[in-house]
Amino acid sequence: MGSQNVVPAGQPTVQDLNDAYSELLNDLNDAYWAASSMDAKDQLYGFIEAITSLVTQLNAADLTSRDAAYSALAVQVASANKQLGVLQKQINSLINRINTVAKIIADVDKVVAIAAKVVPAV
Amino acid sequence: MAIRLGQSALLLSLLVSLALVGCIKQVRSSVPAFAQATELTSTNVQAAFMKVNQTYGDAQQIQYAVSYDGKVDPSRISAGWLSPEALNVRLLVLQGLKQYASELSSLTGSNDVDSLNKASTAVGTSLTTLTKTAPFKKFTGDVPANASNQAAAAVDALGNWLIELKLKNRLPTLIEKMDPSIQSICTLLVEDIGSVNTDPAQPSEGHGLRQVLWDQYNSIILSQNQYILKNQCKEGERAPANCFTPETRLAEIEKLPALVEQRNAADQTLQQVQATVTQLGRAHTELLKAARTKENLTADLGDLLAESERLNTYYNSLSKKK
Repeated sequence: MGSQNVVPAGQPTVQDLNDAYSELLNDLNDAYWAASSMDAKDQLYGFIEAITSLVTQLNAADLTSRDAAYSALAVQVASANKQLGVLQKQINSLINRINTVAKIIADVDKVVAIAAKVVPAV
Repeated sequence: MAIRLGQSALLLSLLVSLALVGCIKQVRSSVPAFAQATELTSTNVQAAFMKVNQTYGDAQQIQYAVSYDGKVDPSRISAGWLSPEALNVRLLVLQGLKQYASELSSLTGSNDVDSLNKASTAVGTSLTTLTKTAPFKKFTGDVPANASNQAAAAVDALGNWLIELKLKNRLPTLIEKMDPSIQSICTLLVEDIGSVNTDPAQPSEGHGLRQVLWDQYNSIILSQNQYILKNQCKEGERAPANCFTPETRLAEIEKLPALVEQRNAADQTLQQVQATVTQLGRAHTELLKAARTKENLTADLGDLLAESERLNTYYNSLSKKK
């Protein structure tokens, strides 16, 4: 699926966005278990909660046909992406695993790029 | 010559009638078995949905307790994996399948046709009304557009079939007419349940109800872990100074692998729902074949019953994984 950190060519689908968030979720989960300080775990836990909620919403709403769900989700995506910008800046200090850090930074770039195409209000 | 032609025509029509009677007879002998298998399957799928939802609800209460900060309205925790409306839509569609099977069975000569007809009309009306409701549109909207349109039409067709059901002697035609709708409903249920954990490197990737359940269980597992970490005694500190006694800590840690096991069992139950519903679609196709030819249905019903039994084992095992 979307494990190559490459934004799909053309117009990405809602499922592409779901895959990108899921990939980020997997890596954040790895980072959570790797983090050694309680502060780092707290912050990562907060991000994981936000992304889990988004993936649930993506499954519940068909973006193309439901205006109300679309608007609500657009707001949620925008807010999560803002948090992700913060995460990108902090991630080095939260975890020590170089590979995981690099992967999360790339995941965030990918999510933000796909979200901008799938949810134009973002 | 005219007499011979007349005789030939009579013979031909007799042969056709015999073939039809044979065909109908064959279908009539297969239908009660199909109906029983379908009823058992639909009941087990309904029970599986309810059991997964209930088990998830119990796990969610743990999350509420361990992350309690006084800011979350407890009435929100009942939102669960499936809301009552979302669960009800699925249960009602399955009830429609059960009623369809009962009606088929009654047409082949069972007893209480009147009360079955009343039940059919009631379920039929519920189904046709259901297709116009927001929860149903959401249910069908979660699958790809072409499948969702077919699914809505299929549930509507099933409802109308149950309402308008009148004829005894058109059984093969009736089965044939309903086959596309039954297939669409089975496809809808399989798509609705979706997928997750197909790639070990990316376990969260997927879609549908399985992905939602998987991610939400993971979130509960992290909440439990946060609770343990936040309540462990710091160096030099001893319980009850806002930290766990060794026994309590051990008991809380033991909940982590139990939750993982519960997540996996719930996911397996949903996978088994997919396998069972797929087999139900196949069995109906075979019933249709039996309506057209004289094939024996036993093997396919055996497969359906086996999948249904397996589903029963899975969802019952969920109660034990607490």
